[in-house]
Amino acid sequence: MDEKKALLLEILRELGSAKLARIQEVVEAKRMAQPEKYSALTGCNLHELLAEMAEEGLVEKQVPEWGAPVYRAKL
Amino acid sequence: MLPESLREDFPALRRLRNGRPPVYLDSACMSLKPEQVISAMLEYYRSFPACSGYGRSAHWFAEEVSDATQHARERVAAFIGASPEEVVWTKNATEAINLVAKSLRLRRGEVVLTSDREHNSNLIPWLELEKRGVRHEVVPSRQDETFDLDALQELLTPEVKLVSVVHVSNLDGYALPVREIAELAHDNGSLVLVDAAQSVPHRRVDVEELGADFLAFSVHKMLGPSLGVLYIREGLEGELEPFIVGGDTVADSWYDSAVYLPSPRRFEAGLQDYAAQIGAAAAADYLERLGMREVERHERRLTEHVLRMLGELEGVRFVGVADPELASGIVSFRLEAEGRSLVAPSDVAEMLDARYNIMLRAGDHCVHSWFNARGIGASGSVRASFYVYNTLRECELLVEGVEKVLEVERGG
Repeated sequence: MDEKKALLLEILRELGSAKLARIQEVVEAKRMAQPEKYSALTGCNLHELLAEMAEEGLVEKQVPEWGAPVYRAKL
Repeated sequence: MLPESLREDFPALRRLRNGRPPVYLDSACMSLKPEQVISAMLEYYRSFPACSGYGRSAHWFAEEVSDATQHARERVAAFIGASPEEVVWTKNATEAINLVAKSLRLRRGEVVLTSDREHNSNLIPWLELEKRGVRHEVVPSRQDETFDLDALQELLTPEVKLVSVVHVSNLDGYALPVREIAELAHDNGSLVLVDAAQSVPHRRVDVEELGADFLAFSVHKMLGPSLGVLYIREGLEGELEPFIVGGDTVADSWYDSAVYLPSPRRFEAGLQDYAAQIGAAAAADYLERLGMREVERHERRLTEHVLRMLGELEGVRFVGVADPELASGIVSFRLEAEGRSLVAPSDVAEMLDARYNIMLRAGDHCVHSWFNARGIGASGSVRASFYVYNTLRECELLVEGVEKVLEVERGG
């Protein structure tokens, strides 16, 4: 699996289920604390990555009628 | 305010989705196009879709292309207070900046200074030069995110060959004091490159008054087609080596040598996008008819309105400079609760697009370095950018939409 996706999956497993705002916050904190491990999670396109992972069946994306989607690791 | 009737000139604004019209607030990326620009370009494709006569064909259609493109160069040059020989067509502002970066004879140990809020287009070309020993240094902003002229003064050493700064930031609409920056740089013997991608479309820009030696902008942000312009102050063209060469750049060639044409032609290799050049002239005409002072006033009014109304909502945190006296045309913000991100900027943009047809930009807006330095690089901000066709009602819809997002996400 792509390194970015593996790292993101690991973070999602830690969080249980989360909205993108929370995921971004955790990614930012981890990038600061352990840049050598999390530097692959660079840029601000995590939502695109998560959408791709949802299509691949790695992540479950729940989209409410009106509100931000919630993500959960499937595997 | 500019008259709302001008919206009729923009065919894209006549569209509907789910019974609602578009609310286009992403002009900092790409502006909409008026019928006048589209018609001017179609006229080329319909009536004389040929090569230019310069150095190429010399027939009926080619002469018409030559006349139209020469007029376009004169028109666009006049728009920024330059002479036609000082205007080089490029693909976009990014290519214009790259042309300077790749062509200016910068030597090992010489320094290029930029601000700390540069678009990647005015950062990455200088980082690339570091590979050959040219140094890149950054002028840090003040605490309030405005440009620090004292910090610039301190960094201006004899090694500084070029100061390359954005005029109006695509992050928040903040206008840097470019005239003062240019004065300090020139006193130091440094050249000045201005990234004017967000200023030329929105305010009156005069290259002489600004003190620019080089100035880059994109026509696609000023109601025109995808095309860039590089202004090179007369007398400086010899400082630049053409970096894309070939057809149209030379007057003559042998198997072992070539004679280059004078500027600007020596920098315009290959067959050009003539329709785009013609469209650029039509865009300049359109904006001149509105009046650039009026354009600036219109956008400032919209900015004030949005800053005031969004500022009244609990949970809206502005990013960058949020003062309509210093920044206009762009409002950048995040939705937060107790100092933490409440809704991801990309989620805000998606929700407002889906519900209200409000088109915004979310993310780092190609200013990743600025967001990363402030610890919000993974999320960025929501950016609303305004132009001549936007209205106060659209601004109110944006605020209404943001208020609704806040309400929903707070569980209200």
